[in-house]
Amino acid sequence: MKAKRAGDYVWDIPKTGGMRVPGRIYASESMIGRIERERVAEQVANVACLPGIVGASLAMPDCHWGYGAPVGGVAATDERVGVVSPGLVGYDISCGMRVLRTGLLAAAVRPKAEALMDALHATVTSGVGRGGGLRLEPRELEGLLEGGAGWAVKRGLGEAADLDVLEDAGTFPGADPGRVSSRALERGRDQLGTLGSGNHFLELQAVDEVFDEKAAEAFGLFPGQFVVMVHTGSRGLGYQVCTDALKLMPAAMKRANISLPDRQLACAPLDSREGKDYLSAMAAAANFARGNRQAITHKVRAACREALGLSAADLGMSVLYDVSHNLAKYERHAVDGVERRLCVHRKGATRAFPAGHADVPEAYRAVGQPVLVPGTMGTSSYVLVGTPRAMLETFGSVCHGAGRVMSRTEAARRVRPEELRRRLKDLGITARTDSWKGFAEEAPEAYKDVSEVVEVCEAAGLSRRVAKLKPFGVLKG
Amino acid sequence: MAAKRGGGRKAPAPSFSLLPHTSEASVRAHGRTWAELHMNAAKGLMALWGLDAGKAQWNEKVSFQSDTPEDLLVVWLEELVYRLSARGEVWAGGRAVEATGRSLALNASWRALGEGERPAREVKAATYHGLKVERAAGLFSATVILDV
Repeated sequence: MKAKRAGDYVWDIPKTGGMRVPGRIYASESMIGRIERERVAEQVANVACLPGIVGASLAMPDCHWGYGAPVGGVAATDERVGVVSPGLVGYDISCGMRVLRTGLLAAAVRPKAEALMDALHATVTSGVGRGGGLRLEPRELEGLLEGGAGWAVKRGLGEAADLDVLEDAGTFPGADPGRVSSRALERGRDQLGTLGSGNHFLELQAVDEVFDEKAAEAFGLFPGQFVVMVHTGSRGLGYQVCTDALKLMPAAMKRANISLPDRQLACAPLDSREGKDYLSAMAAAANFARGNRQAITHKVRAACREALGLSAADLGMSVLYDVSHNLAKYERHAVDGVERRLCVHRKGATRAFPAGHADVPEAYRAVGQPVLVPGTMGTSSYVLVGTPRAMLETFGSVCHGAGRVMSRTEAARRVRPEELRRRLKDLGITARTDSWKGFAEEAPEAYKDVSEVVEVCEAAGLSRRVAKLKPFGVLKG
Repeated sequence: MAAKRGGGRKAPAPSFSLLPHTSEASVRAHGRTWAELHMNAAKGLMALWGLDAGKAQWNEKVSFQSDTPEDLLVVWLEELVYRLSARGEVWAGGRAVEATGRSLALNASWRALGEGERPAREVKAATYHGLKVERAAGLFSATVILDV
């Protein structure tokens, strides 16, 4: 399927067949050919068939072929007549990013990077197979699913001030643990505080470049600073919530006479029992994810204190922000000049609200919401800030990372783990992993150039660069 | 990754292969019977994990029903994903007692994930995107994309 140029960085897919709205892809000219070949445009068009979708079915510059919806997809459905689609959230519910800042210079940490990476590897487990995380009693797990990061802080996994700068203050509203299956609970019971595998990671980073001094100052970032970036989600619990929901959607679709071109997009009206049950279970899984990143924060603080021989005060580690990139959320947006309450699905896309928005933490409200964009282990990551234009065009959404361009099988064939490890070492990056095979599949060449992705976002007016972060320690599950 | 070969003399065919997908993983499995198709799909999943069947430690009868062959395949693979993820149980082979396009009953063998043994990658779920089960020239074939 071909997309038509609609601007320097905008490509449209006109409404045809069962599409209820057009599709829109944000990409540079050099990106669009691959996007079309990969069937992303076809997946964007399929999402446009969802009942109640408004505006356009969107894809961000890091988009690539997913299942059902493309990774990097955004779709908003009307509260009254729209649907919720679990496949358009994805299996890793509330997978997201967290950045921890410190008062230290990275140059002071680098000499102890090996010891610090050993300490982190020992405590922040991958959790593949059996958990390896904090094992929770049923009542504790219920508390986590209701309270998210807030519950974790009450349990001693962090500081109260951490919650002031988290999306939703760390607790996704509307969670009902009673809507989470016993299988999902079983998959999550000993995975709190674990990274998982695949593209999940923990990195030691240095602030390499500041683009926007005012925003950087508001975010507490300065050149040369030591920061830690965490990428993980709701682990097995979230995967099972999505698995369970996909089995319940067909009955709701039949009742509402909904047919879609892809089964993975199975959906339910927002006001249906199935739709409400999914949103309650999804919220619970989102709270697991937020609690998970909070528990990891606690472990990172402990590992840094131990390996660097510093007190908590000398380490000065605080949370910059925590934001999900796989979620469906009720938000208010203007559509054709009229404000409406919408269910905004973001699958591999980050919420990016501008200055002045009430949902931006007070500390950042004057400059806008921090957007945390991971790159690859050998390149860079970015901190961006939301813009008013994103509110008008993309329901306040922007990219979530670099975006894959190479399959895992191809990456495994081309990249030898030992060679990659050496290459990273030559770049001054210390690596640890539970699976060198899986590590090689995440090689930098398997991804788009994250710098180009964020530059396209900026050129399209969806976000602004605040700071560039360079890794010097990488932990992969 | 290399495909493995099945042992049939009359209709030799690869038991499964791992197909490229930009962000996920795809298994294509074959079988001369429904039972063989499901066993080979499970072998494909095991290959994604990089796990060997190993020595069976216990046997357990399991059965599944579904409305379509495609749904049955997803349900079967999801069972294997759940057991590994939640219980650390690894599929160690098995013998089908009954297998049709809509039901599968087998005497399955299992083992515990070994101390220090780790799957090469985490499989989150079996998806419905591009899910296909076909029969041609006496051979069943199935394609399933797994979220990894």
